[in-house]
Amino acid sequence: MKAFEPIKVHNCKNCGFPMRQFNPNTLMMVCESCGTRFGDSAPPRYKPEAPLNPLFKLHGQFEKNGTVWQIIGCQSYAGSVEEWDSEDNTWERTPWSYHTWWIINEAREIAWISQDKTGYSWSHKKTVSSEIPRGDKSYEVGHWTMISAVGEFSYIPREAEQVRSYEKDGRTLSILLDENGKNQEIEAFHDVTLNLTELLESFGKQSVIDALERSKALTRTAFASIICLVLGYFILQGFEKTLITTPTVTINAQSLKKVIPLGEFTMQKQGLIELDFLANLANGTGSFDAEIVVSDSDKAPVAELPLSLWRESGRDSDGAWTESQYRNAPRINLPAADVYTLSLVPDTLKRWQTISLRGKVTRNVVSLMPIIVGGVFAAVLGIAISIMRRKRIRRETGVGL
Amino acid sequence: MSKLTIMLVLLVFGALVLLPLWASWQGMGEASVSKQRDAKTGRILYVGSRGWVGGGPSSGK
Repeated sequence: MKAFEPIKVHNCKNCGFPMRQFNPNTLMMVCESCGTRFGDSAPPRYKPEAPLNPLFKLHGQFEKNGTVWQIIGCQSYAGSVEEWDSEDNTWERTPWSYHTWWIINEAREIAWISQDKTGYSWSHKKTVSSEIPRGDKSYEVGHWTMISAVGEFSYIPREAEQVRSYEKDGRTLSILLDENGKNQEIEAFHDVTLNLTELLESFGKQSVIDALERSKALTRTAFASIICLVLGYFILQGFEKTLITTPTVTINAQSLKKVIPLGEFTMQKQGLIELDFLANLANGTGSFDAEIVVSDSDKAPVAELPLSLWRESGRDSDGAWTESQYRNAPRINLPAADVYTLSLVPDTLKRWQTISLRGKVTRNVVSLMPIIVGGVFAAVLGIAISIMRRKRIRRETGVGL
Repeated sequence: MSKLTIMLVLLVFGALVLLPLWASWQGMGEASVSKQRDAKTGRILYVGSRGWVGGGPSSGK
């Protein structure tokens, strides 16, 4: 993009900086080097500065909808916004600030872009068609003081000029006040929020847009991964295969410390098995502990897994309570073998006379831990990328909460 | 979507979905028993490890 030709160049009377005038209707110019106003020969006590912005810079250009725009000025306002709080029945005041960027196109038409910490919006000037909505609780009322003005303007901004604004649904009535606080000029604007990606595109930041698109795709992938993991877990469960179902065995005091054979099974290849035991617990409080023993063809124990079943009852301030564990399903990864023998060695039986239980050995069972670890990692990654993306947007555009 | 984005998406999807599902199918994180032979006697040894839940296996023959 080629910089526009200035219609006139004025040298600053204080520092000699060449102030380029692009708008034929300009009434005031403020030197961007020393802050001296056109016509003055001495700089103000506090030098006005255009805000640091990664996109908008004085005399910088951008292209929107085929039209090239050049930034010619910036005004910064600080103050507060009053909003009616219907719960507390009072006006709620929030400190706020905004900048108005003055832009011009090659046809020398003026437009304004306003910037606050939430984003940018294109301010379309409209005809004033309504009364000032004083006291109307549906409006947000802004009280503003201009803290800085640099560049060229088609009116003469006073130092620390006061502005009052009434805003509703993106439509703003802006009232410039005179030295006595009386209405000097009323203007109406319709603010249309600018899409930040489109704005970056306008400033030719394609590599930033690509990086943001990538991070968006990765965030979505990370969160979609959690859904896929859950679905995958249920699908894998469909491949479970029952190897044996043990007969129902009844255990009493005489059975303790004796080996009760439960059956045999084959493992053609190494894999995870689940030994699921379900008991019919006797009435009342009691407990049963045993070892499930897996032996190889030489009767050598390969694994011993504890089995613990119990019921407890009591009474507390909430009334009577009962807790029980009538099912235990330990899991173990076993190497391949032609024959494994499964047996039960009851260890203790407390309070109950008898307990009967039956079991089931299932292979191809799915371990939950890698799914949980993967899911947590995916969630952390998704959140981390999302935070980094938001920071990048803030760094590249200067706005964003 | 650019090639780089597609590659990154596939990489992340592979790392976050296929890897945990494969590890899950392999029973990672559960108690395990491996079969080894004693170097001197040639006898089979069953070596166990505890998982994140469940009981531990016996160790040895």
